[in-house]
Amino acid sequence: MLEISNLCAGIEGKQILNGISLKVRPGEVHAIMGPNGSGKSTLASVLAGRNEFEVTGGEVLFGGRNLLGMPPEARAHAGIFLAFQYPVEIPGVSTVNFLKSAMNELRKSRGQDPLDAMDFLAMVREKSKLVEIDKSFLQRSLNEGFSGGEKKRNEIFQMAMLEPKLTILDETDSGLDIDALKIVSNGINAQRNNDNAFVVITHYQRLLNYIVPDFVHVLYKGKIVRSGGKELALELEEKGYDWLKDAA
Amino acid sequence: MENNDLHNKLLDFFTAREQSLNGDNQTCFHALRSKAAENFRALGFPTIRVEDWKYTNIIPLIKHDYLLPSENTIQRGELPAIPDFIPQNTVKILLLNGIFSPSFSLPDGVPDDVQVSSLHEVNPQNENLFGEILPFDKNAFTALNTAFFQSGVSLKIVAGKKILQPIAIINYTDARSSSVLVQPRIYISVGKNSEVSIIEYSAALGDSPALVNSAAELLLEENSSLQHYIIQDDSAAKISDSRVRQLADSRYEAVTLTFGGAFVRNTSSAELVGSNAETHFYGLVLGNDRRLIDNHTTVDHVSPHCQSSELYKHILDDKSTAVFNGRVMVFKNAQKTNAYQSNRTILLSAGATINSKPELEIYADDVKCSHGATSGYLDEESLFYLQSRGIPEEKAKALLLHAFASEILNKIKNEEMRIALDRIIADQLHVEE
Repeated sequence: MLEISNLCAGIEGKQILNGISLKVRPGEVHAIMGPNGSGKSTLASVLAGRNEFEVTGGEVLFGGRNLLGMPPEARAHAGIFLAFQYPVEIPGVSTVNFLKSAMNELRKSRGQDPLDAMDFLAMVREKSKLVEIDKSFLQRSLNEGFSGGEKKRNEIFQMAMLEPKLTILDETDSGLDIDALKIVSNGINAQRNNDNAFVVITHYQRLLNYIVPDFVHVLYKGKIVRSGGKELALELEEKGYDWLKDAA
Repeated sequence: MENNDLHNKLLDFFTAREQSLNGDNQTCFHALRSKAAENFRALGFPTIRVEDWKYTNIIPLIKHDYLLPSENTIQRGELPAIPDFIPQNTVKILLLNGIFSPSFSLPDGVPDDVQVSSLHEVNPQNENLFGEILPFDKNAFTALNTAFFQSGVSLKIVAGKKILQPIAIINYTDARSSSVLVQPRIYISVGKNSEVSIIEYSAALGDSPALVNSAAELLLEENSSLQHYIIQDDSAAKISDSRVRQLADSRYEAVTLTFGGAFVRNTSSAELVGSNAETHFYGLVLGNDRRLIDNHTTVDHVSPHCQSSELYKHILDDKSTAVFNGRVMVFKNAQKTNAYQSNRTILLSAGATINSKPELEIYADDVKCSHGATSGYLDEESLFYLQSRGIPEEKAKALLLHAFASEILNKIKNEEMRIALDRIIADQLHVEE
């Protein structure tokens, strides 16, 4: 599904990713861990198409297509979803209207007609239950004045609505208390199936108790320095990152 | 000072007309007009060396050899359709070439509690505040209007009434056969405990150069309330000066939407002479091409316990220029004043310009005053967020601009009007449903 080969990227002339290679197949969950500044969020941004990052080498194929040449909206249409670490507040755009636009653009890209208003609302009802989002929430301006937990739940709600093939969760656990973490994780787990995949970026092992990964990769100085199964996360929790830094 | 041909022509015209006035030169208006003409002579047209006109060059405007129409030249059948955003049940008062035209207005539709009359017919002795609220000693255009206006309109709301129908004052300018200078004059008073909403709109027929130089005086008596909507998309150039005097507990809310016209200069001011009064100035400006839109506001806090807020938003594209000058004066006695001012601008092109200047002068010591101004391009983070959800860049931009504008549109209380104007603004911003 996703094939990253020797990806190098940076911002304002500063190299951050130094040759990352990673393969993600349908049905898999990959965790990417690493100390602060190792390039985790940069990887997420580059995959989603944030234009301030410059790709200096390597390639990324998504479903066989060259992802790096596509604008962010085309990546979304292809099935990529980035759950933001810091979801943006957009005053004046209601959550529900925003979602309707996003849904219909997605459908349009697939040659489908816009969703009927009743079907859309039925879907909103079903998916909002998943992350325990209140109806009043949907009429409010997108993320405006939302708590950290509400913003993250809103991200997962959007993911559930848009049903992407590949979801990149960028530190979705940051700023969440244990109850919110459970709600968010349940929402994510409910979406898992054999056709979609997840890249879970996190600093802490805690999230991986709830979203159990198939693979764990450790990123350090813009490179994957170790890959393993879920037990690698536990090892990191116990030993910290220093032993890997020494190895690198 | 600029003494050009138009300036001299206008003064000659005034002298000639004065001689032909016959009996009319005995009225109070005459003294007012003579004084105003004197002021106009002394002031001359402002140049960009005058601080208040620093960014607004009027020289191209006064190059035309305008006619000053003394009567209506538009036939009933030639009147353009009333725009959709003026609600169906609105009482419409028409000015043609700036001249109040009762026969074109809809006398049947006017509720009893609204007294509409010509400023010409009314005994000036009864209009004892006419010419007093709006000074004409500093702004040459206000002096010009005061010297030359013809049969303006007076609108009085009697005390203790809530007027449910909006009232629209619509000016049509006939620029079909020659360039014209028209000068609407409006006097509005809202009686004690009364409430009303008033829409001001103007449009031109034909495409000869036209300049609409309007002046308005408003009096809000104790505990009265006025929602004032000023909708500007006139192809004629527009210069306006309006001043509202507010007595105790009154509430004035002005929403100015400017989305058309090559040249617009609005001078809007309020004086809070009674305590516990409120003033709100809201403005939305959409600029493109080489258009210039200038809003100068002044709030004079004379009495204690009053509040004022101002929010002006600009969306500027191409080589358009906007000016926002917000002056707040807090006089010595105006303790417990709460004044807030904000000006926000989104620039859509490198050639667009905003000149924003807050001016706070505070002479009282127990007040809360703040101001803020932001300008910049569309927020990249927001744009990326929307795009990452599959919304194409152009649509995402339109969505964000519309959201930015909607904060002002939402100040319009009349739903029919708000929806219609929202549609116009959305169209201009290329928002698709």
